[in-house]
Amino acid sequence: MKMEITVALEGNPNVGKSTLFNALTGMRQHVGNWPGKTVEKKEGICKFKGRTLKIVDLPGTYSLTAYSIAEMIARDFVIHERPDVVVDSVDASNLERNLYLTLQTLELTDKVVIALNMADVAEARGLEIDVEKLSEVLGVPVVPTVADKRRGMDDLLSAMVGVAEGKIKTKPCKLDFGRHIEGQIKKIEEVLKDVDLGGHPLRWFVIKLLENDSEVIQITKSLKDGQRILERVNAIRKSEIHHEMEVEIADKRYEIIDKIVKDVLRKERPPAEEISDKIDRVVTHKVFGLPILLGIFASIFWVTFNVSAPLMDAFDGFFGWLGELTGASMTSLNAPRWFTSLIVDGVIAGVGGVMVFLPLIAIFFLIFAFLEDWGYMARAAFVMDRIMHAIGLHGKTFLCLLMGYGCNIPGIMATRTLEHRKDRLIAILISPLIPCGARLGVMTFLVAIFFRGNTATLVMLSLIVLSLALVVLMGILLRKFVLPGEHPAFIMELPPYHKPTIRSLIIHTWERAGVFVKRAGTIILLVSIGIWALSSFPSGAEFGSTYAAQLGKLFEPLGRLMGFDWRIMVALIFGFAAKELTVATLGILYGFEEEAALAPALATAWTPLIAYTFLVVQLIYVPCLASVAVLKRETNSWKWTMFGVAYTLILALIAGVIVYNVGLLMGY
Amino acid sequence: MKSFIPLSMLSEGEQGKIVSIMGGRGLTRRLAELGFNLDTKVKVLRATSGPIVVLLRESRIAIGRGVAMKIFVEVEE
Repeated sequence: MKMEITVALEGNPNVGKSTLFNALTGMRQHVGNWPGKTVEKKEGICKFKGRTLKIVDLPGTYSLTAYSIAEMIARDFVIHERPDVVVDSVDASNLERNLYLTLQTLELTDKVVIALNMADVAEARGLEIDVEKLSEVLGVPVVPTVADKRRGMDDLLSAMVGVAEGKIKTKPCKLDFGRHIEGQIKKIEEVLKDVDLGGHPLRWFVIKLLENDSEVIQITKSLKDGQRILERVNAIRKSEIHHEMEVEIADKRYEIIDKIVKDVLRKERPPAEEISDKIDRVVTHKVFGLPILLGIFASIFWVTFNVSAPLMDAFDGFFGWLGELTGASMTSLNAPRWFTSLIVDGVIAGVGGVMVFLPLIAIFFLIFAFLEDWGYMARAAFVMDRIMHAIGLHGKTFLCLLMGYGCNIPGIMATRTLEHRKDRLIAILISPLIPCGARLGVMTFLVAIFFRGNTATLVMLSLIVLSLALVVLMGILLRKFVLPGEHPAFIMELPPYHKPTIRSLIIHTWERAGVFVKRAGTIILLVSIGIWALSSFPSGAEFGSTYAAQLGKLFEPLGRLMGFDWRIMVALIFGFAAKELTVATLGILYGFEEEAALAPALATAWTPLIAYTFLVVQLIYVPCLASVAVLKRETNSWKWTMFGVAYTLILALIAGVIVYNVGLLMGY
Repeated sequence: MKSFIPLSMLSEGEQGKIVSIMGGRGLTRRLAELGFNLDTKVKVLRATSGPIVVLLRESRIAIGRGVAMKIFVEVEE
């Protein structure tokens, strides 16, 4: 008996695969990246009857061709890592499409268990599936499950262990592609039968060659005599062409699926108009779709800000209290003054100043996860596709950008769902222009000091509109001059609406908001200490001559163009670590000299025009150090990372100079 | 009288049988893998001046206008 069983979990997108993963592993998950790839890798542990199962969540795919990175990863894992068992999550209410991946998997390995998931949804739709028959036809165990209610988990685990340990024998069905294709397969098999294919199953390899699979062709080229083999294969392929072979094979697979489905599926009643269609009738409406979308998003922001405000006050109060308590107890313990200051003014004030934004970000992502799990977000991408298309972007880009309003980092990571590299790069590069929760927080704080009533609303609105205009502008410019390419093909499944489970909402929210917490605990912690050091040394110096001040004065000439003095430049420089720190830094800078609360100090030191210019600049320039790190990780290129940093800096400078000087001319 | 027209020209509620796909290699294969195969029925659920939504093999798929113009169908009366 093997101590640890490796399980690969695969399935189409939106078939409750992640729900199944969560049901199996709970919170015992580890999220990382696939080696050398920018696709997320999730692993979890599950204990069952004395065995430990390591469950690897493969990216959701419709197929196992070499079309996208996600598909390559899924299939390489099955071929090279040789998992003890592959669990294929199949949506019972949509057998036809899901079985396509199943059939491709059965070509690759015989260690397969099918989780026939969402069995309850299928039942509600009047579908009855003959599970035994399906298992017989496919030649592998099929277990009905309802992952979100955790039903069928024990049966599934038993089947997984049984197959992994060889106690359950499987005999995957062999697809008959028909006389024509089978004849070609046989001929190529003859050519390759004595060749070492590096662990790839022969028949699968041959089918992929016929399908003109770019990766398999590469592998063949690297084989001994590879070039000669390819020539012979091509000769066989070309001997009889009437269609493109890869399309013919795909058609054939669906033909086989149609037969299987006919055998195992009984429809109890004709499908009435489903609830999903009723909802879609409204939310994807030609005229009302867009206003509804805008309404929904306005409510997201309204709810986020209103619900989080009291929580943020509570967090703020907590960190203030913590700072005072720590300061008092450290003093009473006779800790050195500089050390107390480091902990209280550096660590607690710095990290606390960032953590205050956690409720805002968590609530935003909770609502986002709800709309996403429910099924609305796919519709939002559909409604926005027309507008995004006009800028040369994919409809899905809209979702990534929207996510950026919570925190840019999950937004940038979400661009992984875009298939083409250029589309993805553009999405990554314009993402930082979306004001994240932290920047929105800085905005509301400063706007409240300088503007009142309707003017305040107008100012906020103008900043949001400015950021959107820049997103559009940069999207167009990047597409036209830097990364030209065809308009991306928009193809996206709209999953049926279904009620999200609390468990998955919590996990999804944590995945995204957790990034923010981690950032507070690592980068922000270090930078806070750095900022504290720069503003406290040389020790005993007047604040105006600390290292921080010297740095600010160095950049003051640049700031003058926008009406900024050295203190504002210091705040902006520190804001590079995290935008939330700009307010905290201003607090320190003005507090030291005037020993007054920040709001009145700023109100006397700045004119509204300076405040507005500051807001514009902080909105545009590099969002934060953590997002730069993600930019590097996701683009996997220093060139594009530097480009992203440089263009936002230049754009911020230009915008700042224009706003300030136009403002002066207008007499503000 | 049969007529072959691009999917993008169908109105909401109309359905047809796929007769050919005029895409490049990658697109054609991707569509085939999603179930846009010859002789398969598609029904237009939502038509806009931009992307459309079709019912294909029991699932709803949104496709961009450019893609819809490359899928030719025989309209069923």
